[in-house]
Amino acid sequence: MTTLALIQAYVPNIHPAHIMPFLVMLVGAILCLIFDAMSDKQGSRDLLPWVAGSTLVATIMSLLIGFMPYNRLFAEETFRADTFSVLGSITIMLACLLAVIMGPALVSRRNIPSGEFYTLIVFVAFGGMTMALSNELLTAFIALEIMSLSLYVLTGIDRRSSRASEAAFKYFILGAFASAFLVLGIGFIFGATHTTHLHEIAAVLGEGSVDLVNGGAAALNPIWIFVGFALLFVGMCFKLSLAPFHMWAPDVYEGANTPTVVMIATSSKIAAFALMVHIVAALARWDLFAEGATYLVGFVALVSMIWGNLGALVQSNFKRMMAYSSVAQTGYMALALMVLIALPGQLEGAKLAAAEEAIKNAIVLYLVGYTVMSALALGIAWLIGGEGHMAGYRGLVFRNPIAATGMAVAMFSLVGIGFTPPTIGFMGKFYLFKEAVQYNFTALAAIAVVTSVISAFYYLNLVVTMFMREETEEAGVRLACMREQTFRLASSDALTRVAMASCTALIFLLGFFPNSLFLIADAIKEGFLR
Amino acid sequence: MNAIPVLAYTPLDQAYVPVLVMLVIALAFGLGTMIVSPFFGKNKPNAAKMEPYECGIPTVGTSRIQVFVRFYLVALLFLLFDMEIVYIVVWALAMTNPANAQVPGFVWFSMLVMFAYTAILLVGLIYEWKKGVLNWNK
Repeated sequence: MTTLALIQAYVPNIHPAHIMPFLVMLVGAILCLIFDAMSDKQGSRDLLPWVAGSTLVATIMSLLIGFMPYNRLFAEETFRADTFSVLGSITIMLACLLAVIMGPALVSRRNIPSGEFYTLIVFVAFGGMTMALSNELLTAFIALEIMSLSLYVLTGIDRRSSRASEAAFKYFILGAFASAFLVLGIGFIFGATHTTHLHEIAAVLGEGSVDLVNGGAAALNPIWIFVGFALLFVGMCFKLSLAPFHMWAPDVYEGANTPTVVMIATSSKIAAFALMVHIVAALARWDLFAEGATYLVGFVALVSMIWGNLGALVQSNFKRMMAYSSVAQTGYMALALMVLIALPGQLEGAKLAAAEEAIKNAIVLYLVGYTVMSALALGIAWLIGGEGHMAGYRGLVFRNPIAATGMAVAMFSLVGIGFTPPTIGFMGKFYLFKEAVQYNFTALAAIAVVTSVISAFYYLNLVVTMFMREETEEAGVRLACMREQTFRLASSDALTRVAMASCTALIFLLGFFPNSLFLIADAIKEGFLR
Repeated sequence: MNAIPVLAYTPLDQAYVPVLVMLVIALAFGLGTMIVSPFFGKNKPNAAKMEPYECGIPTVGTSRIQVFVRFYLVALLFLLFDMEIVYIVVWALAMTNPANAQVPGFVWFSMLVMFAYTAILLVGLIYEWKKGVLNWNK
């Protein structure tokens, strides 16, 4: 009996090819660890980013090739790969790849243990991908923990920085607390439906009764679904940094190193949103669910949009501003999530399925767009050393016109509505708000537009600082000395510059042709191999 | 096959009522005795009474001392081997079960699984070894 046949005989529901992306990542992460442990000289450690980077690229390839069955449950009904989760996974990989590219400059500048740094980045990607693909709540929870624990360590990996340690400590304590809420919510949902598989939860909610182990059936008790969802949502709100659970975000963004901030801002949010969308799609099969959950999610979206944008107005530190901006941006996506919950009350049958697909596509488009925009902003700040006080940006255009232009593109795109039609930020917001208006949430959509206009003030304030303010002596000195440190490491920065250029190109490409994103999804659906 | 006795037959809100009752009784007893006892007992403290009698010994020096970091590393090492034992014992019990031994290919399959598992743990051990955790004098 061959090994493959043996595995097939014992676990007939898990095909090794279906879990290929997971295996690739696992082997890559282990290779990183072994490589670090076995290399005695620093010279061979310099190859580590290549090992980690090629692992991530190989995973992207295996996702694109389509080893996993499309939109069908696989591996003991634990995973499901639909458009949202596959596009999300690829974006998670790309964000982590950017962190790997930015890594060498950080590792040598701050003297960070390189083996742990790159291995943990691969584990962040692994956790994020598993979470985005999972169809089972406990798998999702374990994946979330893999991702979160790696991020906690990465936040504080610069041990000589007291701010980083403080940030890691805050992130860890609050994150552990939020995880407890999350798992309690999962417990309540399991108690009410007697299953942790999302498709079975949907079936149970559709029938309105639970099949018991002894063959009987019991009526479903609505209270526990609400309690479970509320607790679960609170846990996820923390990961998504939605107000009022965003208190950690500014401190963590400010204290953590920028490659980690890129991952916290993008990878963890994509993964959490993918899971939230899957959970909501399962729970929304129950006709009473929308009545309570719409208000809950709508409230959080409303508070995030207002609080995030008003909070960002008064920030003078670039990374703190980006933290509040991420609160606001996830608020807009939570708005679409609320529409997704409310939808079954308004439509039925094929129309409902089509509308749900449209909203999911709007969310994933905005997630990808947000990833590209914030990666561009944070990456340029990293390159020019402008992660601190925003006075450092005064007159940047006279010293470094390319960086200033790139940052301006990111800022215009982040504003989105009203100012900048051909960018992904505009297209993403347009689709999100369109869905909200279409399904009679006009008031919330109006508030979203108004808060977007408020956001123009602080985003464009940075553009004004860069383009229209004279460079003062102090600001020039502050930036110049940081730049000197960064620019010494030419190869890493050259790659980072290439990545920034591609981000800028993507902002316009997806702005002009938003549908090109879904061409990738169609290609995956067909599969390059199948 | 017997069902889970409580959860399977009673709805969730009733299934946890005993837990709630227990919680209320425990809280009421604990708080109640604390609140009521000062009203009934006489409170005349002296030095001998205030000593930690039968509650351990009085502390010597400050209790906020620094612990050698290597002890934490030993705890981490222990975790690795702990996980190994947790799974290998269960696996070994299943291997020696005569009913399982009848199944064709069972031994080879379980060997395969356990080798894959120990290989992953072995990576952890190699990592710890090379990082010098096993070297106490370093």
